[in-house]
Amino acid sequence: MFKTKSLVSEIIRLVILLFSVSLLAFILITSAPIDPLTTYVGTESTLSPEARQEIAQYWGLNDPLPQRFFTWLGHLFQGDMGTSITYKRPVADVIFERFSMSFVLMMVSWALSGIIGFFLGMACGKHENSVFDRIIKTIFLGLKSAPTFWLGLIILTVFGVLLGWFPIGMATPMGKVSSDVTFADRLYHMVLPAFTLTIVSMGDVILYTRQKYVEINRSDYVLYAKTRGETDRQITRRHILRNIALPAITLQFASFSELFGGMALAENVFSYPGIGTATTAAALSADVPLLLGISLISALFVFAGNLIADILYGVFDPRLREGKANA
Amino acid sequence: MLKKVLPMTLSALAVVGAIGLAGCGSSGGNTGGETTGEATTQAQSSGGGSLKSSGDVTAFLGTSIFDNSLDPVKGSMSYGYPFVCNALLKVNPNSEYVGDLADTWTISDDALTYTFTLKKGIKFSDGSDFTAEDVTFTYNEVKNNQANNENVDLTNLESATAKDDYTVEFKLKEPYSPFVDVASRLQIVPSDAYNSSAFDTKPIGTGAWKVLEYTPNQQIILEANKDHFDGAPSIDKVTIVYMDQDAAVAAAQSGQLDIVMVGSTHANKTAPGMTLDRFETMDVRQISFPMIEEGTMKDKDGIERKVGNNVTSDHAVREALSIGINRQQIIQNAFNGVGKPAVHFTNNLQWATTKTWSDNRLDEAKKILDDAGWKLEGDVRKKDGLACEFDVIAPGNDEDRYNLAVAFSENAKDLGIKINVKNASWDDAEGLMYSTPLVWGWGQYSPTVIENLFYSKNFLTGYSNVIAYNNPKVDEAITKAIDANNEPDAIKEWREAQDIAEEDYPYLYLVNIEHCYFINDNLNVSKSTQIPHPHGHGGPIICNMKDWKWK
Amino acid sequence: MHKIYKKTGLMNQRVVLLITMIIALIYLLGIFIWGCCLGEDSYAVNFDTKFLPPSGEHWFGTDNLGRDMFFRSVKGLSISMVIGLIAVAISSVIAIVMGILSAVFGGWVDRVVNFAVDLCMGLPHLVLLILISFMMGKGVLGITVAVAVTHWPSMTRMIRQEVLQVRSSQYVLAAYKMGKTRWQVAVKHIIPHILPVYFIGVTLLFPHAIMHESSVTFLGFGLPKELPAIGVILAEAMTHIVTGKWWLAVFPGLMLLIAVIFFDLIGEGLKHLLNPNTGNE
Repeated sequence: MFKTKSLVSEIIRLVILLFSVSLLAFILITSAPIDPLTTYVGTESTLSPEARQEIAQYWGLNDPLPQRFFTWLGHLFQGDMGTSITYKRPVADVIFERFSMSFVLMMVSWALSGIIGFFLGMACGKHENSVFDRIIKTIFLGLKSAPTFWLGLIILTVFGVLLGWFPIGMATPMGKVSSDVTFADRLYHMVLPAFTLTIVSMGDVILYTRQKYVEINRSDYVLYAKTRGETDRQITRRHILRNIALPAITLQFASFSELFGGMALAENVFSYPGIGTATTAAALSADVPLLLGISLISALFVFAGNLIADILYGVFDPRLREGKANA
Repeated sequence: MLKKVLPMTLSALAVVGAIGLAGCGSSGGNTGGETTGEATTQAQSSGGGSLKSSGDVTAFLGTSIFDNSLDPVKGSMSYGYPFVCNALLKVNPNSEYVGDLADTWTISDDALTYTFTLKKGIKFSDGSDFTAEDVTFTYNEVKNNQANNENVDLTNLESATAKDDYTVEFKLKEPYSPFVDVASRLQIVPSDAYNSSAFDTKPIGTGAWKVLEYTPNQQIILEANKDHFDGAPSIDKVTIVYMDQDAAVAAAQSGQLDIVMVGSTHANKTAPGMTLDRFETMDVRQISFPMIEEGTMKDKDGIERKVGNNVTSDHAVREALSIGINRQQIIQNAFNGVGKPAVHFTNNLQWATTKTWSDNRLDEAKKILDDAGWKLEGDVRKKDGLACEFDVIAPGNDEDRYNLAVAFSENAKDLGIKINVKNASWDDAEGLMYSTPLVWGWGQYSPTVIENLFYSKNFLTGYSNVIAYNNPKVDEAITKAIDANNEPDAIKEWREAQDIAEEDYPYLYLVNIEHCYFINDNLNVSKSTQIPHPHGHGGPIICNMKDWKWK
Repeated sequence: MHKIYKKTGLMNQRVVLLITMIIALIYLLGIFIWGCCLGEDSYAVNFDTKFLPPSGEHWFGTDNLGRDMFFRSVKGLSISMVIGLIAVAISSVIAIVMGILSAVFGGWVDRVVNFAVDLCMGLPHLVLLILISFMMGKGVLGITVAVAVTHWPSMTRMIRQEVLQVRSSQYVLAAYKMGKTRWQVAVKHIIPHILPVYFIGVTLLFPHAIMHESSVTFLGFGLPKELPAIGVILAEAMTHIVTGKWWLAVFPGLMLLIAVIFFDLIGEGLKHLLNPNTGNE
């Protein structure tokens, strides 16, 4: 049975986790062999010593690590994440703008890969070991492990260059002022990156759904249902769909981490101005304030996915929940 | 269920099948120029009808234009091809300094006072008048915020004063003949309208273009300034886009861009409706040869650095490589023949030495090595057990520099010298540059590059004189050039410094590169008014953007 | 219907599985050993043979410096495998130690291990790779360390699960009753039991490591050009694919894909051969 108490303790655990993840990211970033002050003002800047001192003071750059972390956290809670060196704007603004671009891209691909992947997986499971099944399985096994950037560029070459159906990159038409950009424009520019991201994220769902389908199809209760004379369609709807859908959705939520990585690569290939291109730009130019902000937001994103997955487990399937607790 | 699933499966299959399709389609269509010969760079390709022939221009010029603020006060566009603002002087196609916002200028005998007379009747794009006050404001703003501007150094400026509305007087602390270069690079902003943060993305100036919108890492949309004092552009709108270099090449293939900057790797490629054009530059690629024996020294920050190289510190090795290699062959191999052999800075610079000599003197070079005690053992020469072998670093993610270094290394094999090409990030390269030869790119109008490369005191201060070059006679010539109170005298000394230094072969000049762009066949970028392109800090092709026309 | 198919096909399936696994193993080992032995001469620069399309002489064509792409790909894949191997060695050792500790000791040890796993999975994998590579100052070391220390969490979970199962099994409980110490039980019963899972985990981990190496290289944090790992080759090829040099990207990419699929195949095969009970729960 679902208990409020366990949900609360789960949320507490996750919050502690989120805190620790940001601490981990903070430690990793700040132990890079780069002068911390330089990472805040940029290598190109030769600000006056007073101005530098002020920045060092504000961010506690001369303090020991734990203290520095809490200084950063303190500013964070006041909504100040510092100024990005790369974009010369407040980190919070950059992240908000970039992440909203990426979020749409990720959610579209996420939903598409979930739905298409689920049905493909069902079809494969139903026709286990058929030619269709084998082909799909092999393709997606490969695609799952194919470098996203490689796939992206091939897709770009085919659909952008050879066929010329879609724009080569960017999120808006070239030369169009942002106030003139329509929803259709944005959608049109999102097709290729979303398509790339969809097919690389689809592998897991397909293989999982297929596996589950086969398992359940062989289970005693399906066998029993068959002997009772239920049709294939009835069995699929009553037993299989019901038993697979939820774990598959849960799996989709738990895959936010992979989704984020794929998005970053796809964005780089398609010059899509989302959080993924910002991540590489920040890391390549040692933009620590932005990198910290991005780590935090990406951790939050993964965290949200896991939280939803956990809640789904808890709310809908007490059996699974208990199983997990015992494990 | 299978019915529903099938179309999706097909689309998934299409992607995989497309891998093959990509191959067939492009090998049939696009490689024509490739297979029929290397010299077809100017060849027209078919299918140009689909490209536009009027309206806006969309250009990819690399990404560095997006790296920094557009504010001149913070050093924007100070390499000689500004578009929103103008400087007092500009460089003409002969690399001479001529007036832009200024009409004339004079230098005092003590070389400390520079007086500029300004053109009258010029307006900023916000409608305000351009006067001497704007000039003094801009110079003082930079001087007071020098920290924000690493491209224009005004620490030597004592004062900038407006004598009247159209006369400005600059006083220097010490003589500095390259001040005319400073005046050609620092563009003037309006004193009333200047706003430091707004100008990052939307500067106001006297230039031929106005920024309509700037989206970081996406695009800069420019609109013609119809009231430009030097004539309005004929094209109404130009968009400079940000994308991955590979995606830009793809865009050229699909006809989505009108101008695409490409590396020499693409020199013999074609794109439908576009022609690959080369532009003369003053940009040279050279390899630095550490001049001293291996050891460690402290740099200006007190950090212990590995310096010197036991092989390249030998004059014979440097000379043999400089005269023995075949530059034309190297260029052919590395750059598909794009670029001109160079043995020093380019002749399209006023201050570059004009002396020249031929290379590919293999026998002479071998004799120099033999005489110096480098005896051939197997493939590689040796002297007292030391192999004639060293690393050359191709820094950054620059395919051209890497290819150049590889071609150079192949060519040096003929001399019995083994060169190992290493690719390193600039961060890593900085750690190695005092002890390891490195492929550099230099190309600017200012003769200060000579001071950077050869002045002995610059060693261990950064990218300048990384090789520990130290020749009192060269130092003296450099000092005289900087102290000169007129341009001809300064030029004479700059040349003198190069001629003396050349005898030591401290740097191995390889090539004067050419910038390659795919250009829409219907677009005329007015080659006759293009200035020789400086080092590619963001696509110097835009230097004369106001002269561009649709054919 | 499925039942019948399974009964008659079982023997056959096993043989087919074995044969495909052997083929896969030959491919992978072959490329690995061949690549390691391959000298630089076989893919040396040759300006006379720039950009040749695939032919009998150059199976995969040549690149912009006239290097033979077949040998370069073999070398590249083997370099990637070496990085993968280092990653697998380190990650799997971490995983096995943490997994066993967590399952055997339980209590707070278990909680700490679980927390560490969650922590490592709390950031998107690619972001974590970039951060570690950034911390290490990029380059070869950065990428190897990053790939090596980020691939253990899922395997730790797998091993922990497996150990928990053995621990509560009859024969282990019996061993405890007979007075065996935890250490003895671990060596005698637990480790042999988890080895299959370990090997499966390793084969599944390998392709991930290689893929991440190439992705991070593509983004600009990875290997230098003179070390032609498959990521470097693919990143280089990207410049040329749009202008018709399809073979530069397609063949090395396919070679990587085949390797990845083969690794997966071996992993799946092992799963079936070593643990016939899966799928029958």
